[in-house]
Amino acid sequence: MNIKKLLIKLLACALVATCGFANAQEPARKVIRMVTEATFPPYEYRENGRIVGIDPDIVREIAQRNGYELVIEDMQFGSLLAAVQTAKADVAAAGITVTEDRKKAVAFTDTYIEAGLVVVVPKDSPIKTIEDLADKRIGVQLGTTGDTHVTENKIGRPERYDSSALVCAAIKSGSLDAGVIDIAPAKEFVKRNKDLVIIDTPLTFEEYAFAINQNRQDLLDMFNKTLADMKEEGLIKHIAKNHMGKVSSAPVVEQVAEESGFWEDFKDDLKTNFVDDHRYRYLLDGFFTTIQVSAGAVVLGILIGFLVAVIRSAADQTGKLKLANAICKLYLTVIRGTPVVVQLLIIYFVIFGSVDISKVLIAVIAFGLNSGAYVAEIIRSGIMSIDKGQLEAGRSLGLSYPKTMVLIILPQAFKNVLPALGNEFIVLLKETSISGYIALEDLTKGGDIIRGQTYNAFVPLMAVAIIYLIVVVFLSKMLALLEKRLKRNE
Amino acid sequence: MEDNPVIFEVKNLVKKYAKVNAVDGASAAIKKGEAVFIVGPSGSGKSTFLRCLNKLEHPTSGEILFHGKRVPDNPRAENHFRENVGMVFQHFNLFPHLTIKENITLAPIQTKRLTKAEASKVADELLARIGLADKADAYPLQLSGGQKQRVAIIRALAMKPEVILFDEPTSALDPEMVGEVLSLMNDLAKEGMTMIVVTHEIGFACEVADRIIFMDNGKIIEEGPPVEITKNSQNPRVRDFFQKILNV
Repeated sequence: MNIKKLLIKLLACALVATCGFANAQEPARKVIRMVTEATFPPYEYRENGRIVGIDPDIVREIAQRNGYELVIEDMQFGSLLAAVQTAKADVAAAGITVTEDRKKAVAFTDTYIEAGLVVVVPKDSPIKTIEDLADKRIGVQLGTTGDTHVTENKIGRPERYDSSALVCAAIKSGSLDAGVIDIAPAKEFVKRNKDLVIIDTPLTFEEYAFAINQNRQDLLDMFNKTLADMKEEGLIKHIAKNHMGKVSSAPVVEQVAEESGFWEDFKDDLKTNFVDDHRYRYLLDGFFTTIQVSAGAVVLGILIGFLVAVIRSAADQTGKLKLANAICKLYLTVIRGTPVVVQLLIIYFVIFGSVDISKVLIAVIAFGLNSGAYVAEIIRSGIMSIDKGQLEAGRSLGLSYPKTMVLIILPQAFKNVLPALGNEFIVLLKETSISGYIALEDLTKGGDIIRGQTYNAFVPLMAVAIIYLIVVVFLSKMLALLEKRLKRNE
Repeated sequence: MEDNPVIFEVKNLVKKYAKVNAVDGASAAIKKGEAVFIVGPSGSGKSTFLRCLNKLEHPTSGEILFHGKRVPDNPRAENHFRENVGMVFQHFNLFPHLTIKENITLAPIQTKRLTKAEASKVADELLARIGLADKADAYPLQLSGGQKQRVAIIRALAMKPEVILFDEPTSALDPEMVGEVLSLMNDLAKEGMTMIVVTHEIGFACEVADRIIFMDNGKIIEEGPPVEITKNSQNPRVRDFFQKILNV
């Protein structure tokens, strides 16, 4: 990482130099950049569009007392520590629990609040104790301690969502049996949703601290000193009380700083991201899920596409099938007029909301339905590219319209549109990367999960990108071979 | 031939496109074994008339009787009817994705007129007859225009139709390839195949036709034996047309 560090330092120097030059007449504005994930009340949430909560209040106080301005940025929880690590942010404050793994990536301030994990279930749920969770569908927020806890302890069947709010929504809609969430937000959610309750025994107790870049000893010292002052004054308790009930202080967190060569670091990163805890399995399982979803969606897309294309062409050529044609047109308009993410979420939350059905199947249906619309128009353009004489020749030999279509028109049309079809399938493969929206663990989500655990963005993302690239290159080669085979009569 | 049964009887056929009447009240009868040639200036409605006969075009009004009966407007009846009425097109319309032999055997097998084995045997015989046995496994793109059109003709023959319609079969051919196609058509006529031919090859028509139908502006102006029509017509429009063509 020495090169990275050097680059960051150079960049920082350049920035400082520029700012200094620009503001030569007045003192430079001192800013602390804080990142958080503002869907975690009472620690951080949005009120009238502003990000508020216990964490922003404490950090703002620390910043003000030391003559800084506070700038808050909202991002996904799984990316917070990576942002601090890469110096995109000065401090991550998001109800972050101190763990040994996380300490490898960032430095932690003294803990300022204690918290715990609890289990949220529907009111009439048969789940009463932690033992009842076995084999149940349990929602967690990706990259949170809840995620780590259920994964490591193999509690039930974990499903990872982008926010705790989504977990609660899924419990309410019946897509989940229970959720593992931090105690404070869990209480908030239960207060707002009369259908949800928290079971009596909590899963864990944890301590929250702020995360700071390991090279910013100055900032760390400043935070710890001010935190100590604030604790003494009882200000932290006061801030916390404003938002919730239970507060306490906690011991100092030790931090580790290491120095080593680039290759050692890189090898270390590879080991942490792939070997430790068998994390490669996230990519492997994700890869197979992506392939399953893509393959299923391609088959469904071709079936729908051919059907719609033939109905549309037949309606144009024979003037019959008016109703079917109208339905097809509606289908094309709706599917091509709305984003695939929205379609996926509608199919998951609305259409199959209360049905316990495999997420892979839901993704296949969503992406297949979506792809079908594009395949239909591609095939229809292929059908239209075939000379009218081919249809007439078939019909004049006594072949029926369907037989002429299947035996004479479609094989030629298919060959003409193969490049466009291949392109559609490559797009489809990459589009399945949004499966994470329904907490399906595809390849991209697999990378996300690793990043959420190791707080390293570079290695898992590169691995995911390379795997997609290899699959696409392989697909393109296969398509080129097929094209060559189909061209043997020319 | 006088006593042969009538295959097609056309009564007052009209085919309208948008505003133009492509065929404007044409009536005719075609008997079994006849070679009838339809001639006339471009745009006179010859091709439309022909395409109405096998229902590729649906007439606006009038009646077409096949063996004295109307063919009902349902797909089953129309498909079955077309099995008996072959058609050869100006642009051949061979199926480029199939081999020559598959082009010939596809329809007989699919319509269950012949079994696979029978269709294969028929295709081999027909290919041998036109001297293209060695092209059985070739694809249409590997053939010359004349070869393609001769394959298109035997593709129609393989269905063993009662009548074959020819829609300007030599118009898209290079001049040196016209002869081989006309020679095959001549052979078919001599064998007694019922043929209805739209063509601009007046010389060939005079030689082969039992009867020539002259069309102009969507109407049948005159019909009769070739000599009567081309040499002795009393109609100035017809006389003018043939004088121009035959005196070149």
